[in-house]
Amino acid sequence: MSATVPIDTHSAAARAGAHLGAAPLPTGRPGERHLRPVATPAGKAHPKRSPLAIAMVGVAIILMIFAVQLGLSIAISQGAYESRALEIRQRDLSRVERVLSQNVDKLASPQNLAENAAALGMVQNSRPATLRLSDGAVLGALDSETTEASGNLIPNATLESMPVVDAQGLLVPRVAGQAAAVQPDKIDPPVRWTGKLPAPDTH
Amino acid sequence: MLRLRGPSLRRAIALLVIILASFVFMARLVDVQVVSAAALNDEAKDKRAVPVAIPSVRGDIVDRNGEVLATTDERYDVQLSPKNTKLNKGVFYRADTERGVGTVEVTAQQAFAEIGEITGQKANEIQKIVDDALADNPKSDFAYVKRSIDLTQLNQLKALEIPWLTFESQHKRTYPNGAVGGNIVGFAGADDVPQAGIELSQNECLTGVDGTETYERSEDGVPLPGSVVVTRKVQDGGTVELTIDRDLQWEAQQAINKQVQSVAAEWGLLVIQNVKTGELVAVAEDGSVDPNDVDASDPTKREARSFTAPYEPGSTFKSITASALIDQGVATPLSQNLTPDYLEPEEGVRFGDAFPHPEIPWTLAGILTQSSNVGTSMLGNQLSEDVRYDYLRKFGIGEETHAGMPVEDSGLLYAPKDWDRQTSYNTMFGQGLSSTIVQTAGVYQTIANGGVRIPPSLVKDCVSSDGEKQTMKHGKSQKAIKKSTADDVMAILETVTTEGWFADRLAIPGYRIAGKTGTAEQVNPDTGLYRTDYVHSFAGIFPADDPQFVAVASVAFPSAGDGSLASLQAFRDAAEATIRTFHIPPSTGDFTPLPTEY
Repeated sequence: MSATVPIDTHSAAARAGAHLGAAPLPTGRPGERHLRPVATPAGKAHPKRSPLAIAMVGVAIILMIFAVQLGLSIAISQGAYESRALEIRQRDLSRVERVLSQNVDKLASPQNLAENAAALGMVQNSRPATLRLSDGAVLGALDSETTEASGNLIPNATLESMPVVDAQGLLVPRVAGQAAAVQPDKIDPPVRWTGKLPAPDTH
Repeated sequence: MLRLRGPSLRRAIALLVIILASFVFMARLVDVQVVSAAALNDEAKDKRAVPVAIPSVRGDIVDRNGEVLATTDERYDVQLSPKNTKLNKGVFYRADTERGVGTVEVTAQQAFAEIGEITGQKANEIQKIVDDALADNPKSDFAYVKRSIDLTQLNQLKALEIPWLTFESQHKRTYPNGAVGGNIVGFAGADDVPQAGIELSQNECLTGVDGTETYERSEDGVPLPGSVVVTRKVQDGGTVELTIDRDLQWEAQQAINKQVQSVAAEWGLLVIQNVKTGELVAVAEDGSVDPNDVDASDPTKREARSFTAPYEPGSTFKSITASALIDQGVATPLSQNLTPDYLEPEEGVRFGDAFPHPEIPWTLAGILTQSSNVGTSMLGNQLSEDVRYDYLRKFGIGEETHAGMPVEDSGLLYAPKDWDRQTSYNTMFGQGLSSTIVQTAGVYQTIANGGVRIPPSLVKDCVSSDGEKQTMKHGKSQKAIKKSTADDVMAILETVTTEGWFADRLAIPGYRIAGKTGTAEQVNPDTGLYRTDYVHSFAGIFPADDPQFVAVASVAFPSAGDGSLASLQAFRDAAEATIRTFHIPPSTGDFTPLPTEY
């Protein structure tokens, strides 16, 4: 027996293996690594992505977003122009409408109707008869009194530019001042004798 | 120590620069967005945002049927930029309408002539406007060419496509019915400041609130989308609805104008009032102002004289004395009184009837039919002054109405303690006191309405632009006399119209009318004495069997004809027109006049 401690080679080898960790497993051929890339599954070829392509796709998306936004804002501003044009049109039409409705008001004024009626020789049924529905009685005379439509005495300056009919029913310019009320010349009242009474004399 | 070399070093420097730059940007962002945001906003707004005033439209005045009596018209001011007329050597280009394509060259002088042709000015007049403005300020950018043109002219001017010509719209009051109700509606002066009538009294209702908004404007003047900010919403003025009926008002004005002219009177008034509601459906005055052309009218006739010009009513007020007598139980319509034609009831007090007659045994009805001053005073004197004064007040005398006009006269009614002896008697037959024609109409409305006085009204309501209706208050209805008294007085007044000298003149076939004449003396303000001519009135109620309307006509100081007949005719025209307008059915039943003598 030697002085040296007999080495348990198995455990030493195991320790050494634990220390180095590189001891090949007994499986497989010696010297071959036990990790290797997984084989690509058949029929599913992985695309080859270069960083450039990814960048281009990104830029393209951004450009597309810009383009869409531009398109939208063009559409909106186009709409703004259109809505402004329509607003102006609406304003113009409402102005026309206002003028027309005011013309109707002027033409519907009693002065205008009276002047035209008088020119056409129309008469007025001054005392219309009435039919009472409850008993069918006619109230008032059936041969009602008519009066000629009297000439208008009430001025209306807005009618100056409006035509009027003549006796033939043709439109003619309105005679200026037709409606101007003409006061007859004042006649000086006779001087009365006042007598002794300062008191009112009324009846 | 970590030592970086090569690519690592470069990366680290780049990162550091980016971080530093981010901090700078961040700081600036916070500065712009938070720290100085308000100041920058203001600055930016001034550069791009355009504030716009949206003028409100003044409301309309309409009659009881919605017919427009006053409305707002849009007119346009034509402006030019004097300095820009000189731009490009005074030449501009516009589309060639003859060829359809291309442009034609137009000089400023040509443009002036074209403008002048439309506005009615001469080319050199417009040239002078430009020269004067430039002489004043060589950089002048604004001058009026013509103000207040109408839409046709505006469109013609726009078609000229002159770049330095601009337009601004403005509002102008217009009255499509002219002088119909002009006295009531009133008118506006310069810059549409209301001066009279409803325009003045209802100004608060008619005036709107101007709006403001701002928008950001692009280079070519188009508002940027989404930049319009309404800072205050525009609110147009409200619509004032009157109780007047436009067509009846015209007929009433025709009637009174005609009578005033036919007898060459100084003035005439005619009022029609609804008995049941107190509404004034026509308030006509001779020579009413046309609010479109105020200067053309008589300055003394521009006000609503029916409210502002009281006068001594005369015998129409004998109805009040009769009402007081019957209401107090002192007399009945058949009370007997042997009436002389002249009386001196006490020292220094004397009055007579209008015509000489022997002592006649008249009833109270007869006294009113003959309109005897003596008879009225003999009976009326049985009531104390205070009682008679109370009745006058109950009938609305001496107190202004709240019909809706801006100014009103209350009429003159002294308290009894201030009556001298003559006045004490005179007030019994409508002298020594004064009332407006509207107050007189109110007296007859009270009698016709069974003794209940409904305050006269002219303004119905104000409808704001968002449809809210505000009804105008005119005061409370009040019972002045008993129903039985009112019936008795109605019978007396119908006896007056059937037995009086004027019965034939007044009659409207099929309709029963009650009423009373009045021929009143008036004090001449210059001398303080009574004038020798009269105000002739007729106050009537129709149909007498079912009173619907009251009309009062007064024709003052005729110089060529019979004023009494003129006032009767004006009343009858008004009554006929009212019957047609409101489709009043004919009267039913017969009336037996009360005995006038015993």
